[in-house]
Amino acid sequence: MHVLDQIAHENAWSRRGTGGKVFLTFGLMGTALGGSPPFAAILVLVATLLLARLSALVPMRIFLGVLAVPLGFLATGLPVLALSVGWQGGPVLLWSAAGATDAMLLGVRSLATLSAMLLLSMTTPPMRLISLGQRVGLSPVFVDLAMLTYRLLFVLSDVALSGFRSQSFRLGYQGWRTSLRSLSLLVAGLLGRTMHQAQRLETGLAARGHTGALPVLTSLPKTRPLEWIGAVTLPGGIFWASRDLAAIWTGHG
Amino acid sequence: MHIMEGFLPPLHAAAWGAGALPFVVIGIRKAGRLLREKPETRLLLGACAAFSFVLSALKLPSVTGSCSHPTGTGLGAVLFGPPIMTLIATIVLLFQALLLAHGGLTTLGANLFSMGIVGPWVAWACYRSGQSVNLSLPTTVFLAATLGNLSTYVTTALQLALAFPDPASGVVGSALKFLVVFAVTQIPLAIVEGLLTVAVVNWLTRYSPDELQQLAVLRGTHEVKEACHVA
Repeated sequence: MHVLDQIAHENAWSRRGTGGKVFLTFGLMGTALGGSPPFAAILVLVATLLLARLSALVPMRIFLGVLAVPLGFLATGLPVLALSVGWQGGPVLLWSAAGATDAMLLGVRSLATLSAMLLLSMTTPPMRLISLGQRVGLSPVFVDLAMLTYRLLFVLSDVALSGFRSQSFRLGYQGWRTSLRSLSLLVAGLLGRTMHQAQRLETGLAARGHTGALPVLTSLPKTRPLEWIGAVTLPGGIFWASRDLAAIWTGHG
Repeated sequence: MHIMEGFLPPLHAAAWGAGALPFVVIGIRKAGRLLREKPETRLLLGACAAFSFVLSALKLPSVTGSCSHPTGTGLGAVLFGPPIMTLIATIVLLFQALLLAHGGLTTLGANLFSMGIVGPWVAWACYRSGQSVNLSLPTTVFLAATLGNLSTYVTTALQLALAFPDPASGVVGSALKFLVVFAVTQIPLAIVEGLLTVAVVNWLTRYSPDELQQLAVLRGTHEVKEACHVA
């Protein structure tokens, strides 16, 4: 989490306009979902990997590592689609060739859209995305809470990690029962600490006469015309290229 | 159990987002009213959301040998109440997608429906029912957390079944397939999360009654007796 946040602040695209990056991301996602399968998804996957590595200068090892996080979900979810439930005097599982093809297409599509989302999350700090949401009309209550949560979650995750390490050093996670007991103590202690932290912050702000919202100043870089052109033409180009490739493939078939 | 980015067909993703939206609006309105009446709860709400995020990142020891993370829906619903939990879950799921690649932006509505709406409301209903028939606190909390977790898994399986019906047996056959496949890991995890939540609530009632009383403000239950009784 800390690594991703650090990359989002330090990559070569961090000063690029947030609106353009969001438009590009959703354009690529839309193309992967609505373009001709599997070419659109494959082209989006390749394009995002190239953009992340060569233009945004995001470390590929970390990008691919995060991309691999939901592989467990794919490993359990996709084989289910390749099997069909039939009835031959009782319920039977049948192999479905069409289902297997659909599952493969779905796996590529999911990885492509995830890759597009990672391009956004690894090049844009979440605070800027929330600020953009505020500009386009998200509820002030939601924006205020999201910004506050973002500020606090790094502090709390450090507290949780240090607590977990202390417990581990005292063999608190040896065996299932001990692990459960240690984890329950950690969670209960964390809630207490969380609330004490909130109380201390509230007391500090009240001492300064604060009663209203907590605005957080965030710079929101503007998207330059060239970035807008790229954000529109790349997904559009991939969309049309995927249709052409599908037509060529069908012609050969 | 988060549905990953891009897994659902666009129409399904949009429909689940539209279904979850009214609950988010209710949560925002409740939080807005609370903040107008008690501005000091702003930091408490933010801290609770951050706590839920960190809770969902902790590793849960499973009896099957694997590790997973708690959904936190049972504990969250019992501590904060379902409407506030829906708002907190929206923020948590958004940050999980952006910072951990768990879930996604297109599947945010579907994941919110299972983890931020169905789970907390089932857990809350179990908790209130347990209280009304005078079940002991550990039993009530265990049932709330376990069934809250199980209901999120059943909802996710149904969401996937609706999106990908079986060619031969339709949505019912597909639902059976997803329920059976995910049951291997999810049922033990639900039981473990139930046990964990009971242990957490025991520690909290013993050592943090003041904090529990403070959290009663979020749920809209101001009675001290009820606050000390956790929810």
